[in-house]
Amino acid sequence: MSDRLEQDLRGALADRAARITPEVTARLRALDYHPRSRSWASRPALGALGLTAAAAAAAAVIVLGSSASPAFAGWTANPTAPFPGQLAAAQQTCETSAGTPVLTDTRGPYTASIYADGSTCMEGNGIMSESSRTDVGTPTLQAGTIELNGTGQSDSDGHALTMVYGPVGAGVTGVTIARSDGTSVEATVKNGWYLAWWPGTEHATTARVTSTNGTSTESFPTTPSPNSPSCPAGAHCASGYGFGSAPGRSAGRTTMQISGASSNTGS
Amino acid sequence: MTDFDQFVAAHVDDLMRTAYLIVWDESEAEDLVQECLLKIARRWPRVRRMEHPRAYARRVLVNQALDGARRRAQRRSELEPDASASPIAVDPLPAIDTRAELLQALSQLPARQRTVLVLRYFNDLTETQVAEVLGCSPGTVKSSASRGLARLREALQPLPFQPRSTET
Repeated sequence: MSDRLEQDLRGALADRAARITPEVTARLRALDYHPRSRSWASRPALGALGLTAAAAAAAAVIVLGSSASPAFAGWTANPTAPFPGQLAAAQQTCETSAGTPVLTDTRGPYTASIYADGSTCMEGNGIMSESSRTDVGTPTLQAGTIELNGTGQSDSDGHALTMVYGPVGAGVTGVTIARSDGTSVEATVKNGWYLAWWPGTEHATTARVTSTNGTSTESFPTTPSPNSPSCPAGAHCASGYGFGSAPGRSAGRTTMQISGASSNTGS
Repeated sequence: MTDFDQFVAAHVDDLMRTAYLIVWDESEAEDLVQECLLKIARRWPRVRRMEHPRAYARRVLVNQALDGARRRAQRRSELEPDASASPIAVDPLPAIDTRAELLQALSQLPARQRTVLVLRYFNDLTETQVAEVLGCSPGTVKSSASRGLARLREALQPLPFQPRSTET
């Protein structure tokens, strides 16, 4: 009886599914699922952009919705308390197989998250940016030190953001990032990780690390102009760079992608 | 053609048919598939590295469908506290054979129970694979499928003969 029922059920489901006409699926195939029209970016020469031999491999994507503001309205240099529901909304947007974040950093309407595998996601005001590392697994850091990693991304429509993040050694309680324009950004430090980000292409120059042992200053790798190679205006492409200080790691494959346009570079 | 476009071309038919069988409405299913593919596009750099991107897409689709069903049920209970829990309208066509009766009965199942049956008997997934899509245990899938089949079986039973009352 059960076998017969199961057999009939398979037939009934197949009958009903057959009502979907080829026109419907053709319509779905023809849609553009990317927020903007696409064009292929030229391959950014990340070597020329200054990826050091110890650079952390990263893949990054920025997806900017139509409501995205180039100015990242509401962003703050110091982390802010999340609004009710902000973290849940961010987790839904950033839904990932990497599980729940080990750290969330909120700055006004923007939520940046870092996951245990080192991947990150930032979303808010119609903007989403993701990066993932291929060098999963972190070395044991000395107490009071931090690993210096970062990505910088910019596109031809004037959107740009820079993010620094990484694991911290035992006893680290605070990290303040100094930028190339002389201003500073306070990082969120939690669960053995730190993260800070800002709109624009200013480089991180140093990190002032506060720990139970006192304070120290670590210098970020010298980064080249993140605008090079530049994207032609209106071309809807992205350029970027990645850097890292983890010892013993070699540079890996890097992907910069924006709204489906992507370019890959192995080094 | 990008690899994302290839992914869409290869799987959109399966996603659309699955969505249609879960939500029982073509327009709603089409909207669901669009939303699902928009999400996949946003996460494509990550999704493309997954071992089973299609399984991930199914999970996104099913989660959206069940979220929608939950929201509709909540709205209905707020508007009509005594309303039946049936999530979708009855197919107006009369049941003319077993398959038609089955479909009518299937349309009356709670969305999650129907989803289990669709994934098992249309998509031909194992109980373990269905559990991965739904984020529950294989045991839960097994009992849910068993309950769903029992309700379908009941619906196919001929109505017992009821003699007309002779009282006047």
